[in-house]
Amino acid sequence: MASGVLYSPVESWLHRANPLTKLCGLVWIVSLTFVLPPAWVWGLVGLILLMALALGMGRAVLQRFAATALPFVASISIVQALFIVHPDARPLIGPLSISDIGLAHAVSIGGRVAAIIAASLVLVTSTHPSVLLRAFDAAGWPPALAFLFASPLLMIETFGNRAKAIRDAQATRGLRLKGRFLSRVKSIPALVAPLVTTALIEADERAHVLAGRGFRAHARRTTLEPVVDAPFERPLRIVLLALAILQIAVRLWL
Amino acid sequence: MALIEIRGLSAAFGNTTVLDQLDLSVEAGTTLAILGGNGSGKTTLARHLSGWSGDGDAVRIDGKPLAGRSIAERASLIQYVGQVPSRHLSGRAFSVRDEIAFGPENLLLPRGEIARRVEAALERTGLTGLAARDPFTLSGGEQQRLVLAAALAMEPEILVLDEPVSNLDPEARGEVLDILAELVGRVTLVWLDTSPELLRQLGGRLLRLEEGRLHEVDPLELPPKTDIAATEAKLSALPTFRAAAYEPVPVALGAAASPPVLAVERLSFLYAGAAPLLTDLSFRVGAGEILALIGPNGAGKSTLLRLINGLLKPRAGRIEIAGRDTRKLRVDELAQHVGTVFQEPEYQIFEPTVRREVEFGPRQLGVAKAVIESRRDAALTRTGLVVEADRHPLDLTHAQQRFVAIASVLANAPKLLLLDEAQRGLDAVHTERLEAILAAERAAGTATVIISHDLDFVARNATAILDLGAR
Amino acid sequence: MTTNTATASLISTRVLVLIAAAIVINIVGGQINDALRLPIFLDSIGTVLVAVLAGPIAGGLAGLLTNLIWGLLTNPVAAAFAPVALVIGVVAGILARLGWFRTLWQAAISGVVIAFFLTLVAVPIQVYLFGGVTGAGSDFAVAYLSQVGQSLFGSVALTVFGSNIIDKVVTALIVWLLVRQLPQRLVTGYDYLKFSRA
Repeated sequence: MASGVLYSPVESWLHRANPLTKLCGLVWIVSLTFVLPPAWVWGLVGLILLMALALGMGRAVLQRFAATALPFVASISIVQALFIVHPDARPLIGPLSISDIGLAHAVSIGGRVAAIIAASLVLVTSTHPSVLLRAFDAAGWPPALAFLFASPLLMIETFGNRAKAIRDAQATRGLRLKGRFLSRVKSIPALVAPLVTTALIEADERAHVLAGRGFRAHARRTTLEPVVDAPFERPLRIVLLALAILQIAVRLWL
Repeated sequence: MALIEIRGLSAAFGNTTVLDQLDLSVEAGTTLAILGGNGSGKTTLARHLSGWSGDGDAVRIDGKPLAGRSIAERASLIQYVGQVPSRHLSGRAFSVRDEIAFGPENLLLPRGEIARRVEAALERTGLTGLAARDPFTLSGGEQQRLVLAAALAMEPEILVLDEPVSNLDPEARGEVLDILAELVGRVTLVWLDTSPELLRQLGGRLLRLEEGRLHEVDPLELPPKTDIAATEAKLSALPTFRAAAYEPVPVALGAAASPPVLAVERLSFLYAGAAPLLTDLSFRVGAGEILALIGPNGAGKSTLLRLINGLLKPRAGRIEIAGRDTRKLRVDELAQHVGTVFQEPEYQIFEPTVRREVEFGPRQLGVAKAVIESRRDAALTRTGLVVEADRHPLDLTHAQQRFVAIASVLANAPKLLLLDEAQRGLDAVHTERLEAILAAERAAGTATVIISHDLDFVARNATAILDLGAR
Repeated sequence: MTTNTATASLISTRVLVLIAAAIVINIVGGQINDALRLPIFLDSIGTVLVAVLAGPIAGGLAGLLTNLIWGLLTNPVAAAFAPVALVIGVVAGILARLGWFRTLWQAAISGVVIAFFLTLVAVPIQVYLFGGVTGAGSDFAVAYLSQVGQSLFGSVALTVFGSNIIDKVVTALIVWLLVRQLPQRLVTGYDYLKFSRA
């Protein structure tokens, strides 16, 4: 399993759903956060997190939600309510003032970002990258696109280990990594150059290997284990996208 | 008509001719072994043969040059397996099964046919049990079997093998060789390698690549097979000590060395959350001694090397180099005393010329300019790189890159030299050069620790053996 | 190169593989930055490298995908800033085409230009989508500047430009150095390189 991927392997209807349907759902939720009143958006956040809990991936989602959404909400509340000088600002302590307009901004923007983070996390946690790739293939998307998505995920760990090996090799030749500021800056090339040159050597070789395996021989490719759509999923995707477009239109015109 | 027809193939790198009007014809179903030293042009030939380089019509496969064929057609005709298996993975598949299916899927084959090919390839390469694993987490040997499986799933007529086992340990080599032996006669095999020993294993026609052309080889002119009995006799004459992870070593290896260059005392080490790897290990290596660390993968050979050069610190016990405790010095301070030649020279090469690359170490250590220059010139001379001094290290052959790494360590003038599989993939000429350097260091009073899976190399060079694999 | 003749496409397979590697170099570059405890990011070396080797489209794609993958792996907020990473790659590619990666000074100025354009794109996203903050340490700077009388727009712009300028100059210089020194056998086939090699 590629490192860093959030996927949590449990059984649920959401895990079985076609990743493309889930992507459409995410687009719909994002557009929803622009039309719902702030209180409703916060309700949506709660709903999404409850769903994650009910489907058995609460731990993974909540942990990451706490690490990403909470600092954002805290930061926006402090900056908008206390630091930015809105017209209705009342002095608080010292140089700080408090503003209801700022607070309202914070609640609104904070809720929207929290909802989008929560929905994205549910998508990522319930979708193994390889299933997403199969969905791309089944939908006839260009093979190059799926490659650009998959390849970095697979190579992060390899490159991370290689960066460590390079660091070790240069240190045993006498490179000091914890010296003065300027000497640390000067040591960047010794650490980065081998990473880049090995990547270029690999890119050359892998490009030939891919062509040798028939990569991009045709504009699309087939897949050994296709993602099966439930009977209602295709129409559901269309409905979700249509709703999303409608909501964005409403938001822009009203 | 022959399946492969090469007429007047020439190739050059810069001003150097690599292939010179080379001719070759290979009938379908034959096994062809091409013997060539490091830098003789094997890879260049293999790349032209597989359509990776060149777009002329010097190379014709089945009557037509590859350049005139579609990607799909080429893929079903010829497959290339190289030296570094991880570079031959697609980088697009999250499991072994997906990796094998990748090629057939690209060709839009019917699903049933893809499934049949995947199962057959898994079976043939013994990977059925690993089908769900992430390809990038496999060992080198497993990855090479996967590369073979993925190539076989394309059902090619020709399989080009460019030193397919030179980066593998003996056990993994055996597994890959067994798979290849099964393919003899079913697929046209073109195997290029430095080792006549390996090439002999598959039989078939034997050619030598020399000065850019292919020459017939008389089996009698090949060096005789290595005498296994003689190697074993030599090995058993060397003082050998066995260490097991679970019990202390009763014997003090190298106790006579006084004062020792390297002293390991009651060393214990384990990785967090894993079983003990080294327990209560004690040994010494004196000036002019060459200690060989042997044992299977996972026995702790590389870990021990990393403990000695300071990249890891002991859990218990101590390691002293020329009287200095490794725990009290940073890695870059230890570099004055210990030099390490790692397996992958490309992980350290970053300067634009060989000359500057070799100077890098002594510059870091703050050595005087005149000394840097004399050490650099001596190291270049000893490694045979004087002519290449102004070239980019990565434009050299793999063997020469290894010697760039060795030269950059020699330029630090260490008292203790550590070599991790430095002989791997070297042809006879380069192996001799490496052994001459080892002998000279030995005579000059340097202590050396080597890791090697090649027992012939150990028998020829070591003065003592530490076997970490005794169970 | 012969391998790519069969399918004519915007981006050759070789550049495609290079982009994938560049995305990983961006991510690992951030780790190297942490290991050296430098006060910059070093997370767009791959993007600028691809831009110089293969042009603005490839560079932009490398940047865009880096942030989308980051969004997937760590923080979805990063994905919203994907257009910023795209602009880094596109601007670097255009500068390379104009020959602004030939000398040390040109590369340094290119770094400043990249920082300028990325600020143009980053500020509206940060202000209108996120109310001026990102949930990272630089929010303190935004807070301080707003307090001392800057508008939110001005505070964010100053913070973004200030925190990026050194990083982008260092990145441009590293790429300049690397590209100047690449071995012969690695650079054949990258069409854009001729614009950056004096």
